[in-house]
Amino acid sequence: MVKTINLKKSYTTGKEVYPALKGITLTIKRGELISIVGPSGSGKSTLLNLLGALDRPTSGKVFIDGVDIYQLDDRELADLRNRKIGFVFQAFNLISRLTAVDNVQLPLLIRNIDSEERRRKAIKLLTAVGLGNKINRKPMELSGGEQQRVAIARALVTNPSIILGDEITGNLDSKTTQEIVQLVQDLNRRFNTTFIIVTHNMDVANQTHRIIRLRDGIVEKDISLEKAVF
Amino acid sequence: MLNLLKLSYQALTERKLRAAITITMVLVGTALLTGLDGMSAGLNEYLVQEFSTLGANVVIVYPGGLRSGAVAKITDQTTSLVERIPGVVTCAPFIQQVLTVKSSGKSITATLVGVDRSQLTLIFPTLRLREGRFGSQSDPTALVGYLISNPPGEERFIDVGQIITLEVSIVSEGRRVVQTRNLLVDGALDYMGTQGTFIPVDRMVFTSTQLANSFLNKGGKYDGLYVVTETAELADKVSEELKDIFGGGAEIFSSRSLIRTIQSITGTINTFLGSIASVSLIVAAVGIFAALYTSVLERTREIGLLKALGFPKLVIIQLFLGEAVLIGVIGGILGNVGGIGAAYLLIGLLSGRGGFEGFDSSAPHTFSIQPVFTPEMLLTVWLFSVILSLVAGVYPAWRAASLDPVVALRKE
Repeated sequence: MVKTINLKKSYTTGKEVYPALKGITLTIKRGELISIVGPSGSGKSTLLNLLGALDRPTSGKVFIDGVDIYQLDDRELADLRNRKIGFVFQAFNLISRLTAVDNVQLPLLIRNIDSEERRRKAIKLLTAVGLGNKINRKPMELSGGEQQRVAIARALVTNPSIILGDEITGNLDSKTTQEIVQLVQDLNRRFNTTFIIVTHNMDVANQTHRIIRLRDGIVEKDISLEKAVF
Repeated sequence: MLNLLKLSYQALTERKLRAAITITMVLVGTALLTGLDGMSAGLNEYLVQEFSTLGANVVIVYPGGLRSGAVAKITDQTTSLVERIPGVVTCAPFIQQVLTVKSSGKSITATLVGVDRSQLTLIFPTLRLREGRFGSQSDPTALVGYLISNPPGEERFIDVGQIITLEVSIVSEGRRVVQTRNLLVDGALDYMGTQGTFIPVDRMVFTSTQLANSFLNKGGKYDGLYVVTETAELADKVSEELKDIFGGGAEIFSSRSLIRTIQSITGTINTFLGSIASVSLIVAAVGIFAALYTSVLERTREIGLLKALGFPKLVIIQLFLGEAVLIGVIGGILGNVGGIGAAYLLIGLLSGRGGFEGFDSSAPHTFSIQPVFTPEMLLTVWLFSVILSLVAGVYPAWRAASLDPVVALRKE
């Protein structure tokens, strides 16, 4: 479960203080599939970074599975990212010199897991995203959609509580976008992993369970779409 | 740990040319240091071996102070004075003159030495008789060095039992006259291998002091003294006593003091050359720094990703230090090998032109300088290059680990 309490974040450039988040309070249950939408500069990415323990808030709290994460030091925060959070990026961020299976294993490298077990887990996840036959391909040898599947497998391999996606379909055509959305829905059901994805694409947002619309650093709308069909 | 090293290695191989260039820089620096060390160790061994033909317990007195200009007069009285110094076993005065030796129509240049020949093996411990006998002070005969009986590249010059003619021009009663003297050769020495150094025994003709004295018209004056001490350690003490006796009128040498002097000179040269080689390694370290720093800039997003995936700071530092160390390890090993190869190649080139072989390639056991490499020395040079590489990687690695993941991930 993820919970934020009056989460605020300001950026200071010179003498100007720019408030990106003005107080976000949210509760996200395990297994939810949530989209965060809103115009540019509304604070979507800032919120995502704070949920992902990549940044520190100006004030307010974030709880992940009951842990007040910003009470942790940098080392503990890194460990939390490794164990509890998976990231999927717009630009995939795969390491080009590594094969698909090595990319997926990457988060497990800093854990005390033997290489056989690591590889077995990575292959299992690659199979789950439909790339069981391309595990030894390098990113350059895969299509955009396939690369994003590898990235999703990498996010899932640590069995995290939440997966954060930042415009995960932003670099894909509409057909591939639909495939990725279906994959996310499928994985969300199968692994009961919480997905929080930031998107501009309302077609994508409309296929999630809940849409959180931000505007000027506050939650403008929080609509539950469960069972609803548009 | 091994997994991280594999990641570092893969990162290196991704930028092959850059890795190759930095490794080459380390290679060149390490090779220079290795080669120089090997050559100087070889030179040192060569010098020690050369000077050890003169016994370590032998001190030589040459009249004529290099600094003072005064010239001590060495006579039989001086000799008996020196013999009374505690620790002195014996004192052999000698007369020495470069002259022409003729035999059956041919002639060669040699150094005539008038000395008590029965003392020769005390003075030159490695001296061996090949044929005949050493001869005593009462024998008006000659004992010839190996290269007198067997001149390099020529047929045999003289045999034991044959007569040689000594010919020298000296000043007698104010006039320059040519003196000649026939001598029976009754002994021939084995090869010593000291040609080109300060006592060319192989090119010497030994006879008694009396004969040399009258032939060269020396009037009872000697050209120097060989002072044999009880032990090598006493040579230094006796040298000091001799300096007191002769003041500035004579130069006092021992093989120990000569080796020390030469080693201090070669040591200075080695330090100089070594610092040049070290500078080239430092340049290599700067190269590693530049390459890694560029790599950190290029891989900002990758570093951001690793941080997002929960890689701790220390692990990211290890990843980049791993690259630096790999460059150092590979460059260091190749440099060791390259340095050994270069040292042998250089020695080969030099001796191919006769530079280090001496001038008698026909001699039976020619002794030339061989580079000397010890495992400790190779390891030291190797460690030096690895540590320098590591140091060069510290800042780029720290920079990488300190990147803000939010900013790093946003970088295009």
